[in-house]
Amino acid sequence: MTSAPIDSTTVGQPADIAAIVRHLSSYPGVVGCALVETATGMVWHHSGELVQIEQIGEAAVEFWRVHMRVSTDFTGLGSLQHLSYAFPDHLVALFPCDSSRTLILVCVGKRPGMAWTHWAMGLVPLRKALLAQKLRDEGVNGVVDRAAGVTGKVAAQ
Amino acid sequence: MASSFSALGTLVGEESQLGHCNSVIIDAAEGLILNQQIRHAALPLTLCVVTSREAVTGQALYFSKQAALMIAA
Repeated sequence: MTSAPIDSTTVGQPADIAAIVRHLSSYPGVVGCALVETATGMVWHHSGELVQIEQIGEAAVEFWRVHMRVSTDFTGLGSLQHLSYAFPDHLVALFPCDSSRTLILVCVGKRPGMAWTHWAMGLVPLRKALLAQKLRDEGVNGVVDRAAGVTGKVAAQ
Repeated sequence: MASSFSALGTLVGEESQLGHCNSVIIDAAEGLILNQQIRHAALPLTLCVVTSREAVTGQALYFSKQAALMIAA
């Protein structure tokens, strides 16, 4: 699979969020990605060769809920960067995608065979796109550029 | 929390046919929480390790796994 570049000039469109998820699932070693709403377990977008990625995305929310329920006991450890669980041949990782923690990206990668550090840099456009979409939905397009650091057409949309 | 994660890992592994969940890692800004499954013959156990930011994830995971193997033996 190839990792097609994301067009930053249109970041923030709903279709672009799906494209970013597709892009993240195209990295070497990734078998599937799903963008999941934590409150409901609903999968917004999913992509990849793994057939069960939608079910894994829904199940991943349960991990997230357990973490959120007990996170107050671990405030000394600071904010969560990611949560991952390892299986014999795969690693499932959960990444918060917005400040309100309403969306998480679930990624399933091969063990070994995936460069997680390199892949994680691809989360930045996704977070920007989700923030841009949120601000646009709230009717504050003018601050998108300053808040998200997103350039180009996003602020004008 | 460790037992909840352990139970969820087992459930997810079975439902998604990914196999047995070996470990769960919570990576926070100031440290790590590692939950390492212990394959004890008599009863399922989980080793929970909390580290500071100075810990190297791979190293902490390696020694947790070694400890789990020793406990299981």
